[in-house]
Formats: sequence, C-alpha cells, structure tokens
Amino acid sequence: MRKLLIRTLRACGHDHPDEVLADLQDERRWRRSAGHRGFAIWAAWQLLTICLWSLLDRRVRRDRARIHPLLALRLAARNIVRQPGVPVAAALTLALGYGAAASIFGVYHGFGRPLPVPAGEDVVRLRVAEPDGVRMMLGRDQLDLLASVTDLFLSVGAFAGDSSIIAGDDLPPRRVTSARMTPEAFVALDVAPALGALPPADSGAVVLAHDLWVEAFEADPAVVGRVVRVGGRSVDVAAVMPPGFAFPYRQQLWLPMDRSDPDVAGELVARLVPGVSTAQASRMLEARWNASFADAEGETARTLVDGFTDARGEGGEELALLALLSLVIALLLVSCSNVSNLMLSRAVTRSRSLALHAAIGAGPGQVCLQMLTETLLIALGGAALGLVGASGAVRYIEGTLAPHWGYYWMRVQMEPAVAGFTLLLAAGTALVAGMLPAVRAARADVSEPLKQGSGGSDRRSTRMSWLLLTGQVAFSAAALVVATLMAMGLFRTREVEAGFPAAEVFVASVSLDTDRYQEASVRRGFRERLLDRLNDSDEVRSAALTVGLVGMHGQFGRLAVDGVEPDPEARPSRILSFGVSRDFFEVFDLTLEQGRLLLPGDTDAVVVSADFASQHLGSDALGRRIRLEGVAERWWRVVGVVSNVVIYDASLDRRLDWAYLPLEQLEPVGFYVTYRPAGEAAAATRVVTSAATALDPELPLSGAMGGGVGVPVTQVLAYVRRFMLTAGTLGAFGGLAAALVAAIGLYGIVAFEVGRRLPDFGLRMALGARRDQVLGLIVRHALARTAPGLVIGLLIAWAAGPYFGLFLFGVPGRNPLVLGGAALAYLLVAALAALVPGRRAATLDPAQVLRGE
Amino acid sequence: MGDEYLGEFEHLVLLAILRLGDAAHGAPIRRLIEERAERRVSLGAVYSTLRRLEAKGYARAREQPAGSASGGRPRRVFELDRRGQAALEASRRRLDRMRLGLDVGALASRD
Repeated sequence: MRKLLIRTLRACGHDHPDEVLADLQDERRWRRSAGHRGFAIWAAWQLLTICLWSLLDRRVRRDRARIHPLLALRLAARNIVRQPGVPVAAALTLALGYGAAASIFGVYHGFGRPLPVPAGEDVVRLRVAEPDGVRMMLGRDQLDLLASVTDLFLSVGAFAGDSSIIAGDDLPPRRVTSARMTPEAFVALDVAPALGALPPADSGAVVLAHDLWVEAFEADPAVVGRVVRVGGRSVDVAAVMPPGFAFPYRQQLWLPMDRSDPDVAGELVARLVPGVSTAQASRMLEARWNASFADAEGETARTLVDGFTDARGEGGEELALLALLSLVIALLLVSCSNVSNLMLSRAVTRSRSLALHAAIGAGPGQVCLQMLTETLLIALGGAALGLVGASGAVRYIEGTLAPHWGYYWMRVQMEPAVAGFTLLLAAGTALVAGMLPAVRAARADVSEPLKQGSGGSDRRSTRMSWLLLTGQVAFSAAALVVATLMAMGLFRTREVEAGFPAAEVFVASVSLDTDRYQEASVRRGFRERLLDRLNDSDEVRSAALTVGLVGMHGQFGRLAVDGVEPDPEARPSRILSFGVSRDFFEVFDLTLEQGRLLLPGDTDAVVVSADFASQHLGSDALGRRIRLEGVAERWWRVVGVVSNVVIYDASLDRRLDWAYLPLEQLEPVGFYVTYRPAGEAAAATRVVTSAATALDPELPLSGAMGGGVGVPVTQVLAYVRRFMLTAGTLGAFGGLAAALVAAIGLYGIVAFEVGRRLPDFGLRMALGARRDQVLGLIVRHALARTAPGLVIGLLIAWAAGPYFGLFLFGVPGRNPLVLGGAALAYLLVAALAALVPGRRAATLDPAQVLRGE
Repeated sequence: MGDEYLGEFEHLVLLAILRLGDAAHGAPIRRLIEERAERRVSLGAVYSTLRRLEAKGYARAREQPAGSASGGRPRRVFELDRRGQAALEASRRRLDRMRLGLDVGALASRD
C-alpha cells in the first residue's frame, strides 16, 4: 500500500512522497486526539488534492519552461558562441566527412548524367563483343542487319572520333576535333540544328558545332551554304548545332561517314523503340546477329546494348569510385562518433545547467531537443565548410580529368543536387551523432550533478565515450593503412620503371586522310620523306614511326606458333604487336639479347620481347615462325629478341608479351611519330610539326591521348592511369584526414578526463608525485585506451588487404611493414594528442587545484 | 525589492512558518491556518504553495535530523528566507497604507 502510494505521488510530480505519508500519520494522531472521525475518507480526499495540485504545478512549470523552437536555436547558438572549443572541433571533423562525401557524390552524379537529348535514356550504345574483344569494325551487311531490326531500334548509326583541319577563304587553317557520323546517328540523337538542316548521306556537307561557329565564323548567320576546305577537300557547311551539343567527346565538327567504304569503323549509337529495355534489346539482337553472323567455327558473339552512362563502369573507374566511397563512409562514421563523443563530454560538463533546466520543469524531451539543436547547428556549420571544400575538390577533379573524361555531357560540378545531398547527410548525421548524448543528458539524474558541483562525474558516460573512441581509432587506423598503401601505389605509378626512357621519348600522331593517300606507295613516300627530314635535323637525336604506341596500346592478335598445337582448353594467348620503322629500337633504348634487329627491306621478320620468347618459344626462339591472327594474317619469322618493356596497365599489373613487326609491311594510314630530342624538347617538336607541314600543309598532326603534340610518353602513361592517380591522391588525403580526425577525438576525450581528474592529480602532486610522473601517467593511460582500437583497426586492414590490393599498383594489399609503420605512427599521434592536455595538467599548481579553482 | 507581491494564501503560509518555527512542515501548517484563519485548507494546497514559495526564494527547506519532532525520521522543515521576510513586511505596509483612515467594520455593517 505504502509503495503504491509513493509511486502514485511521484507519478503526479510530487517530489517528497514519504513526507506526505509522514504528514498524514501526524494528522491521524492529531485527529484522533481531537476526537475527529472518518480519517480514511479525509485522508483519501487529501491525497486527491495533493495529486491534483502536483499535476497542475507540473503543467505550469512545463509550460513556463517550454522552449519555442526559435528560442531553442538562439539558446543553442548562444551556447556554442560561449564555449566554442568543442563545437568548432566537431564542425571541423564533420566538415572533412561532408566535403569528401559531397565530392564523391558530385563525381558520381556527373558520371551518371543522362544524355542531354530528347528522351536521352532511350539512346544506347551498341557493341558486338567477340571472344577476342569488341569489334571496332563492321561490314556493311552487318550494319544493314542492325538497321533492319526496327522492332528494337528506331535508328542505328555509326560514329568515329577524328581530328581534322578546316580552312576557308577568310579562315586560316585550324585543327579541330571532329567526328564522322552517319545520318542515322543524328536521327538517333534527335537533336535539331540551330541553323540549316542536317545533310543527307551523299552530300558530303559538314555540320559545325556552336562554339566553332562563334569562334571561327564569328557567328555569321549566313554560314549555311559557305564553302570550306576540310582535309583538303571543298565542302559545304550544311548546319550549325545548338549550343552545348558536342557529341560524342567534345567534337567541334561533323563529317559524313564514307558510304562507299565496305567497312564501317567506329562506335554505334541507336535509339530504342519506346518501351523496349536494354536487356530485351540485347537478348533479341544477339539471337538475330548470331543467326546471320556466327563464324565458321560456330563461335558466337554477344551484342551489348547499354546506356551511355553505363560507360562509367569501364576502365576500373567504378571500382575506384566504390573504393573511395567506402573510405569516405568510414571517414564520416569516424567523424560522427567523434562528434558524439565531443557532445557527450560537453553534456557532462554542462550537466549542472542542464539539471537546473530540468529542475525548473523542462521535461526530458526539452533537454533532448536542446542538445539535438546544438548538434544540428554544428552539423550545418560543418556542412557549409564541407561544401566549400567540396567545390574546390570538384573543380580540381573536373580540371584534371575533364579533358579525358569521356562523353561531353559528363561534367562534374557543384549543383543543387550535391548541396541537397550534403544537407541531408548533415541532418542525418546530426541525428545519429546527437541522439546518444541528448538521450543521456535527458535521462541523467537531476539531483546528482547539483550535489556534486561542476565536476559531474558521470562514469557511465565516460565509458561510453571510450567505447566510441575505440571505434574511431579502429576505423581510422584501418583507413591510415589503406591510405599509405594507396600513396605507395601512387608513387609506383609515377616511377614508370618502363624499361625504356619514357620521359625522354616524345610523341605526336599522324592520320593520313584516305582520299589523298589511298595508294600504299603514296603513304610510304610520305613516311620516308618525313623520317628523312627528322633524321637530318640537328634538334632530333633519333626518330621512328610506330603503329601502336609502345607503353600504351597496340594491336592484339591471337598467337599461333608454327609446329605447336594450340591447347584447346587454354585461352588463346593475346600478343601485343607494334609496327615499327627503322631506328625504333634506338629511340626506345631496347637492348638486343639474341639475333638481330629489324632491317629495312625485311618482309616477314619479327622481333619479340624476352618474355615472349621465354613464355612461348623456349630457349630456341630464333628462326621460329609465329602468326598473329587479327593482325596481318601471315607467318612471321623471329629474327631477334629484345629486352622487356614493363608497364602497368590501367587496372592491373600485367606484363604483356610483345612483338615488333616491320612498319612497312602493315601499310598504315595512321601512325605515331616518336622521337628523342637532341637538346630542348620544344625545339625538336617544332621540327616535327614543320616537317609534317612542309610535306603536307593540310595534314592534321595531333597529339597522343593525354596531351597535345609533342608530349613525353610519361604524360601519356599518366593519362591512362589518371583515375588511379586521382583515386590514390584522394585516398591518401582521406586516410590522413581520418587519422587526424581520430587524433582530435582522442585529444577531446583525454582533455575532458584530465579536467575531471584534476583534483586527483593535484592530490598526487601534493603528496609528492613529480610533474613528469603525472604526465607519464596521463600519456600511458591514453595509449592503453587507444591500443584495443588500434589492434582492431590493423586486423581490419589485414583482412581487407586482398580487396584493396586489386587496384593498388604493384603493391600487395597485405604489407606487414606498412601495418607496423602505421601502428607506430598512430601511437605517436595518440601520445602527442594526450601530451597537450597532460602538460597543462602537470604544470598546474597543486594547491590551486585542490582548492577547486 | 520590486516584485515581492504576495498572494493571500502565500501570506498566510509564510506567517504560519514564522509561528511554527522548528515544526513548520505540511500538516502543522495546514492545521494552524485552518484554526487561526478560519478557512478550510487542503494538504495539496499547502504543498503547492510551499513549492511556489521555495521557487520564489521566500522560503527554504532544511533537513531536520531524526528524532526531534518527526517521529523518528529525518524530514524537511521550512523556514523564512530574508527575501520572504522582506516580502511579508512590504505586504503588511501596503495593506496598512490602503487601510489608513478607513473603518472597515463600520462600513461593512452599514449595508
């Protein structure tokens, strides 16, 4: 009965129920002595009034203490301004996470942007994939088949990127990025020109991009019908495209694809019939394709139909993005738990004022709201900072990667979607980070902190803080290891231990136009005269022409060795082959290991790399005959073996077996000019360009991927690895940031604990402990608490090693040296983080501390 | 000094606390007011007023050790704070000034 009464009174808000019971006893004694009867009824009535009054009072208190949301904001702001240390640290750590997340999101968003044409999601790429790889050339009959599939596609067209020289009467020759397109490709894109009309297939007329029209033709409204010279031929200007259209890779000019050509080389674009999905189209097309074109051995091809935005997955880019994303999420979690920690310690130091707030009537919900509002303000501040950082990062990414990005509409920039995402993230993390401290603050026993003065030793919340810190330490230690590995991979890619002096070899590319250079003899004449001019010059030490760029790409052929039966089970070996002119081996500094180099006049000789020889030919390589299917199908005789060239492919560390064929035998239309300068590179490049122009004023001399005319091969290689480089750089920064964030967290909690235990230290020092002993105690304590998290983090890094190893260049994912180094570095940082508050504690006057000042 | 207005019941409770001294807690206060002020008073009203007086700073509670008047348990007794005394004084002076020169009894019996 007694317990029930006490509980009821408390529930109504009466704080001293046992006093009520004592008073009622008192009343009973008095009433009995005064002769009053009916105590039970009287007492029940009194209890009722007590409960009612208590409830009423509580309601009044709550109403008075209720905080208007705007007031809550003002209070939160005022609290932050008064004690800015913790909020600023929290905002900074959150800013790191938000900034990184916003940048990654910006990239992903930019990548995933749809094609900016009507019903862009219906425009797809078509690719035919055979076991050897994707076909870059289709026969007319194959293209006709694709065009006939009208239940799947409204239109199927082809396009091929190119480079052209455009000139006119009032227009000096200029090099532009161009593309050859079939009219069907324009139909598939469904973009109407701003001026003029798209030309029919056989007109030979060209279409200008808006930018080119403004720059070169001064936005002349009468440009349609003007005659210009493109690649030496006079053509009409048929149309100008609207601003922003630059399909596919920032082209400035569109030329018709040659209809008379039996083969169509390039990529395919198509517009799906509305309602047909890419998967359906893929399946149905494949059946029809293989019904007509399965090859003699019954090998079938796969037809791939996918949206242009799916291109973002190729080249290891999606892997890199995913890796970055996971790193960023880890970083954000670390930041979150950091903020939670900081807010917890803040709640404890403010527990007195919070308790007072509760004492005058604020309910637990009110206290909770107050803490959450503060956390939200901090998170928003962090988000603002993070967005500033992110816009810088995004600009950097767009600037370094944009020219090589791929499709012209894939721009990465700060936009409302990114800002919105960040704000949402901020609100979410504020809730997550702030909920725990808010709830604890609300539930904390009101009277305890009031009795104990401002110390407020809430032991439970300190344990919670250390738990959170352990999580932080684990994440950031793992992140630090990964960041170190990424940085190492980064350095490896820069080294380019290529096996040839990549920094000293410069590159330009030549594409002879097929109309004027149709005859092989004409082409040969051009090449020989070019080489003569280059070799005569003093500025050029040595020069060579190559088909395929050594270090980057060449032509793949399937290997067959004379006298060796191919293993039907094994996958056919793919050999990378290059056509090379005389002096090639000198330019690239390859040493002869067996036999001889190629000589002018060689018709069927081939020189192979040392690895090729050992892999496929054994010790007896010379004189063996090989065949490279897909590249000049004939037998070649091995005359020499040269040193290896080792490169790192875009996503994997692969060493490729290489074969060098005589250029003359390949009769190329396009080739690279590779040269080593005798002195200044710029001077040598000028010689090359003037030599080419002298031979043919309208020859488009262009750069290799990754740069303009005359860049060193290192730059070209860097371009190939651009994504890895960017991912590595960002990853390295991310890992360091994570470690820094954890260090801040550690500092926060150690500082708080030291502050709380000041009387303890003061006592020790008063009893004779030396300052350095106290300092040592603090640091050792901090390190001991850091250790479990560190061990967990290193275990995580060890376990995740193989996964990350996939895209670390030549660096194994599990590296005990790195783990050990990271552990030591981390402990050092932890010791430093503990030293700062520790020193402050050790240099205090013990007497002052004990007095409580 | 400015805001020290007392309600009538608060006034009565403060006076009761003064009178009761060491025995100033819920039940005796209630009985005293019922007896002297001749009005029915509930314990709930007394407690509520004591809370309010405490919050305003006019009265404070102190722990009285077990034994003396409390039937073997430690309990809280109330005493006047300086602010409470000032409030009582101010209230009395106010009433006196209003009453000055009036004979309330004669006026009342006139009607």
